[in-house]
Amino acid sequence: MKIQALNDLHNELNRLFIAGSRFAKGDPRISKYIPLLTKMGEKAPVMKRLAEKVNILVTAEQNDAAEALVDVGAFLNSILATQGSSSLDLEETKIKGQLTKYPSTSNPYSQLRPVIEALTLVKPGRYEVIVNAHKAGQLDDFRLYEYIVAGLDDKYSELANYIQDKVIPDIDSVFIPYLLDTYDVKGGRGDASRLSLLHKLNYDNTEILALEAVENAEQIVLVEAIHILSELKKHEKLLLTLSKDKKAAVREAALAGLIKMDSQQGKELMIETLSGSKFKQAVEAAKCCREDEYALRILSIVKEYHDKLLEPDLEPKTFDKYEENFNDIFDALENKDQELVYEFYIYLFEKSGYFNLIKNKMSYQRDKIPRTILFNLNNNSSKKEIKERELKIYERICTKKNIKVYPELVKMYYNFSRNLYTKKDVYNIFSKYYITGKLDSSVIYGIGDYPGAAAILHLGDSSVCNRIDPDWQKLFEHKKDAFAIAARLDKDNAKSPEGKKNIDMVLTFLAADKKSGSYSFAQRELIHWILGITEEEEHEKIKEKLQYK
Amino acid sequence: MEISYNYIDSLAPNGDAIKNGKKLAKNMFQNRCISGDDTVIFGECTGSGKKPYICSVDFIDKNNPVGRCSCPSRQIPCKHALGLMYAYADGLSFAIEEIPEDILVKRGKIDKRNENKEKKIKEAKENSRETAKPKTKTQITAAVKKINIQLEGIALADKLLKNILQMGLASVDTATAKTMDDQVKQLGNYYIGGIQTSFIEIMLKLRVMAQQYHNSEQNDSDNYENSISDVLYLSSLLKKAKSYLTEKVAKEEMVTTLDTESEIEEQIGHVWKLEDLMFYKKYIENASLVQLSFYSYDDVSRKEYVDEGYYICLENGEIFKTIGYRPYKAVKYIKEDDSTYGILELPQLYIYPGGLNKRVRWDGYNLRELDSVAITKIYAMAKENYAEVIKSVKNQIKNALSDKNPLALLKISDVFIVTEKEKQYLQISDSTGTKQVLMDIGYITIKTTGLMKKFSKELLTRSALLVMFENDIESGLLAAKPLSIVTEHEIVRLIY
Repeated sequence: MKIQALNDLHNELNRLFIAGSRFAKGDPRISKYIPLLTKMGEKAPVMKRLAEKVNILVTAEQNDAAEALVDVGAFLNSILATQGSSSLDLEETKIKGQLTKYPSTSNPYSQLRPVIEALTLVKPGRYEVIVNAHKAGQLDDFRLYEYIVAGLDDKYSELANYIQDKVIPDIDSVFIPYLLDTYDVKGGRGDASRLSLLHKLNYDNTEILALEAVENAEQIVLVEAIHILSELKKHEKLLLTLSKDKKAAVREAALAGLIKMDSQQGKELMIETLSGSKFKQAVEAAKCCREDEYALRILSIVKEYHDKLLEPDLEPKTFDKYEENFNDIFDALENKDQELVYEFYIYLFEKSGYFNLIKNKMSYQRDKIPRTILFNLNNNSSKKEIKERELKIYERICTKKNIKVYPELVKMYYNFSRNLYTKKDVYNIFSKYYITGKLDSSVIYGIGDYPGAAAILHLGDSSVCNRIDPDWQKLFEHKKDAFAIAARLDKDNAKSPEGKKNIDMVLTFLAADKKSGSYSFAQRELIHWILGITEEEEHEKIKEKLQYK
Repeated sequence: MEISYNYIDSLAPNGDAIKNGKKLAKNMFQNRCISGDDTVIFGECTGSGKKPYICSVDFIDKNNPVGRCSCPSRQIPCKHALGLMYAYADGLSFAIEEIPEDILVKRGKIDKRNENKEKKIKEAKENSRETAKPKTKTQITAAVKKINIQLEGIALADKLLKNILQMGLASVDTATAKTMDDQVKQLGNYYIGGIQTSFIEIMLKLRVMAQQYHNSEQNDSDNYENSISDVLYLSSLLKKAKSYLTEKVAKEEMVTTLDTESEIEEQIGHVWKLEDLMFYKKYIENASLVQLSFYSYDDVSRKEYVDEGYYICLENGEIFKTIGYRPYKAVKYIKEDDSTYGILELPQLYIYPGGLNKRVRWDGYNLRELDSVAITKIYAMAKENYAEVIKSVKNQIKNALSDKNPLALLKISDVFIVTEKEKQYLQISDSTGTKQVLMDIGYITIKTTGLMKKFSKELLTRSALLVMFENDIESGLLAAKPLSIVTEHEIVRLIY
């Protein structure tokens, strides 16, 4: 049973501990408890003793006060320890838990702790810990669920996204109560993720939650709610209203939602917005639109922005603004699988002169349009016949002039074509790119098996031989020895006379093999390898010999 | 011979060793061999040195495999020995070879050591407190001298503490804390390590408070609550230690004996050795323990990690604790404890003096799979009368020097929710209607009551709950934190 006076006295004593026992003598805030405790002491002797101890404290001289303070403090704590109530005398309600079976908890501390730390502490390597634990199936443990759901609010967005995209969908609907418990309709990004996941996990009342969000949510949750409602045609009217909302993000989401639900009014609204000054709000919607008629109308709007850029004698500021607009609106061509769109791509590379105009721009500005084109070409290639047509587009745009600026084009072309062409055809097309230095050897293996210089050493491997034309081996034969020598060298043997002789051999080969004033990616890899195993004072000499900066 | 990945993980000193060992297992072993009798695996592992490391793992004692390696690492087993085991567990090929000579020699040494150990145990059993020879005069003189030094140290500590209290805890700023630190350091010369550690803890907390004040962060009286509890603990300890040692030094027959009824010896600074515990008959023979829960935390003031295991003894239903300390400085070389899932069969279970949940340790064990009979037995051992448990808990925690977080296994008869100021708490009750509120309190930071709420009433009322108590003076509540659920068929861990 809690006796308030004892707690108050406890607080007063704490104050004295903090301020110092030297202030105890005659302290009225403590003395005032003596009569009360003495009275209580008539029934409970322990209170009488407490009153005596308090009295000693407030009458003690400075030198004895510390002793008296700890004495009364310890005594009071001991009394309070016996006074603690083990229950709350309040109205009881039934527990709402639904689980009728206990889950297994066989994951030991050594596996759980790193995961909990990764989800609760800010420290490096957290993402890897979660990815590895997920791959090892260690996250499906009910003791982790709360932490995982809380991870949706993590400031490190890659981690939050991984949890949203991979972890929770893999473990599935068991997360629904955890998501509901922590979902706040007025919350932020994490709550938008919760709503999205509830929908993904087929929670029955997602539509109700989404409608509630339309009424009450802040922007980010509201946008997610619109995505959900756009799957139901009956909400067309609501989305049309939202497409006129004062918040741009809401208008944008509503417009995209209308296109997804195939709303005729929505499509017209999209074209209208795309043609106006606030066209950016309609780009997402335009991306979702695949219909021929609208695709061509979108293309013609994109072309208008392109043509504006090519107007003569534009002020630099005006050019920059037009260019930014063109970059933004170009995204609207996503998902457009129409002949005229492909022709526009080719036109851009071959005739428009656009690339000449932007050749001095920063690379991220310069590469925006080609990357979007490559993305769109790949994105549309779900059928074989479409692929063949797109290969032809690649062939057209991979001209010598273009790949000089965008070597990426050839790599994409290579990866695209090797499943359709014969090995010999692939060799015939791409060896010429290699010879002219536009393609490095790693491409032969597709993506990443043996990157850089190491690729050449594996040309003879059976797994590689099966995939490529034998002529590739001949093409690289004369280099293979040098690469093999280099691979055998390390920091220790590079210092020996034999090692130095080998390094000289490789350097001679590299210097002789240098093409058109620059080294290929593979060659640069090899040079860095040599620099890594040689002494620092030799580096200048090596670079001079190779004329390498 | 079968070795599972989990088993190898449990042998590793830390997570990094596991990670590195797994990497090595893939392709860094040049030779992998196994003895014809399946008791040793050995091989050569490429390392950063010129020559490969020669490593082996000897399973002659299946419960205590010995990893050996020529690498310079001080971790036991090192990543190479772990890698060799992972390679074996992965099913990689191992050539059958004779057991190397050096392993046979080392086995001989281990046998001899084990013989000596057994001899020592036998001697200790025979040479118990009752039958021990009387101490020599020299031994008594030495003991008296040590106690007098301890009393001097206690007087010094008392003076230091009083000085702080007189000026007030808030008077300790970073400059005075530094001066005090030097004085606290001196306590190390008086054989009162436990008292010194308590003082260090107080100083560390006060320094943090001083720093917060300096940084103009929030610094109210609530923040001093912990320091005040520590001060009260230390002052009580100094008082009890002084009277205990004064009494001890006054009686010749007591001078060389240790108090085994309370924790005072350890609290002053005595480190219990197994021989001491054996001497004072503080052990049970052939005991079986099952771990119900495990927790590990960082004790910043002690500058070490603390691993705590909470076990139930299948023979008598007592809840015991194991405590492993891993100082920061040696953290790489001391094996981190982990959750244990089987039945530990212990030839000797050594029990430290203490209160409700005594600290235990052992030297050698056999791990057996946890069977349904044992689980049913554990469930049956749960306390059905909360009033009795609460009484014993209060009796313990009212003592300033006792463990303030006792553990108990409580059978649940009913469970419900109570709401106070919009906060919902779980409350369980026994068959007589005595209730116990559950809260996320105490030093275990992992929240568990939320997990409990996910289960249905039907499920929970067929269960028992391992709880840790804590008395909160402010709220006037003696609350319990759930750690594990035990049913007739399973143990469900809510922390680790």
